Amino acid sequence: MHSALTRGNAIFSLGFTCVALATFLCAVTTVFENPSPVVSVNIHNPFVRNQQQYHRWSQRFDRAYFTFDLNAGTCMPVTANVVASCTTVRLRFTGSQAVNQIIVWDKIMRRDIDDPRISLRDMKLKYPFYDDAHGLRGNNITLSLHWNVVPVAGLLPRNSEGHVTIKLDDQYA
Amino acid sequence: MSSEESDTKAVAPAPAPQSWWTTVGEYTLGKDAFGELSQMTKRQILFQVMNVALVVFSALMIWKGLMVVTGSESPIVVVLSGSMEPAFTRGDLLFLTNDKSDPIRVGEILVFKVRGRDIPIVHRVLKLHEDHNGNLKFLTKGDNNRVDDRGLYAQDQLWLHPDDVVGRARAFIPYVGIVTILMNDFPFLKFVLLGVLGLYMLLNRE
Amino acid sequence: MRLLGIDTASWYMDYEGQKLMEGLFQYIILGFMTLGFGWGYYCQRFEQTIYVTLGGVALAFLICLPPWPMYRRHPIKWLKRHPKQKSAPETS
Repeated sequence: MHSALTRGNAIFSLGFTCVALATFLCAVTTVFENPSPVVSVNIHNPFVRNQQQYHRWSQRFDRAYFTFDLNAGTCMPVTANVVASCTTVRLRFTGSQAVNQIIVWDKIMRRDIDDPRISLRDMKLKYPFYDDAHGLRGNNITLSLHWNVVPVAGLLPRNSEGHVTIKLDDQYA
Repeated sequence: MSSEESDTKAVAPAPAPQSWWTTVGEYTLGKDAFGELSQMTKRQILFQVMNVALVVFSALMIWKGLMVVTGSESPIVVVLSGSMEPAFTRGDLLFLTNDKSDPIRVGEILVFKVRGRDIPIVHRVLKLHEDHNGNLKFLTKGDNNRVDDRGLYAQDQLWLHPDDVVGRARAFIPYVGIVTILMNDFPFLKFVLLGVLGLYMLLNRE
Repeated sequence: MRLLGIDTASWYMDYEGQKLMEGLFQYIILGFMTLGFGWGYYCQRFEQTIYVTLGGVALAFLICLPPWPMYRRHPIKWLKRHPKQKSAPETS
């Protein structure tokens, strides 16, 4: 420690190591979380149409519409290791393809800035619900709510969910 | 960096020739830094060079090892754009894995590269269709963007495929990648950093 | 150049002072990190932990970097120069 530079170097590296250690400990505290939301979902007025997509005029695809109600207690854990929570309403169905999953509505909630509760009535779909061909009539669709929490530091996929299933019409509207 | 005080005699240092670079060397590296360098034998200089090479090559091997373990061609990525705020800001570091046996699902955060362009993009999967043969196609969107990513894909490309994916984001450290962003925005900083590091490593006997 | 009344070319501390300084900065930084972690856990905000830790680092810089007089209490006892001996460069 004979020169100011070596002293500064030593202090700086210990400070940096301590900040990294604090971040790592913060990441570790989220290992023991196990949230499970209470969700109630209702779907109103579903119908199917045969439509053209805006970027592929030569083909027609099935498109379904509905509105939904959604109530959820809280979509974000109140711990230290949370930056934001991306809440999505997802659809799962088996149409013309084997597996289809679509996000139809999403909202990003920041911690302490946005309200973590969700209470929606008669909400329209934010993103269009197309099938890849014509497989929507008479099929089941499952609507689920997911929240994906983004941490301050640590492992990324932190998910939870709750869901409901309905059946679509057999005919085009 | 030992205090080699011999227990016989401590001798006061000889007056070194004063020119501007020795003065700078004195203030920053301690007295006689350049004197030390000129006194090192060829073998010692070679030893220093080999030490530096050892550090560089072990870093490279660790990087390649990570690439093999995670299966992704770029296992550590810095978030470059603000299209995923408020979740990820510019300068965050993401660790990726690319496990092909684990199927991609909607809502996951992916890092992908558009064909023909070299910039990795970090976005979330919006829509996903998989047919009976297992062929997967999906559409992505950044959380902060208003529209989906079809405008970013290559000409006439409407969907992404698992081959375009560099990896899935699994762990996250905030702000550490600021250095990379600064060096991208101000390229001369790269040379400054390399120069300082090189000088320090060569002139320091450790 | 003179800074804090000391010639900057000789920002040195003697050995007892270096030992004291090393212990001081280690305890300061580790202590502030523990405090910061506890405080951040209490109010569930991680930024507080980082701020407190960085405050500790700044305090450590202030106390341990400049050669305060408390680090110069045991000066090195140089022996007298032998009149006939050639002076050799000092190794540090």
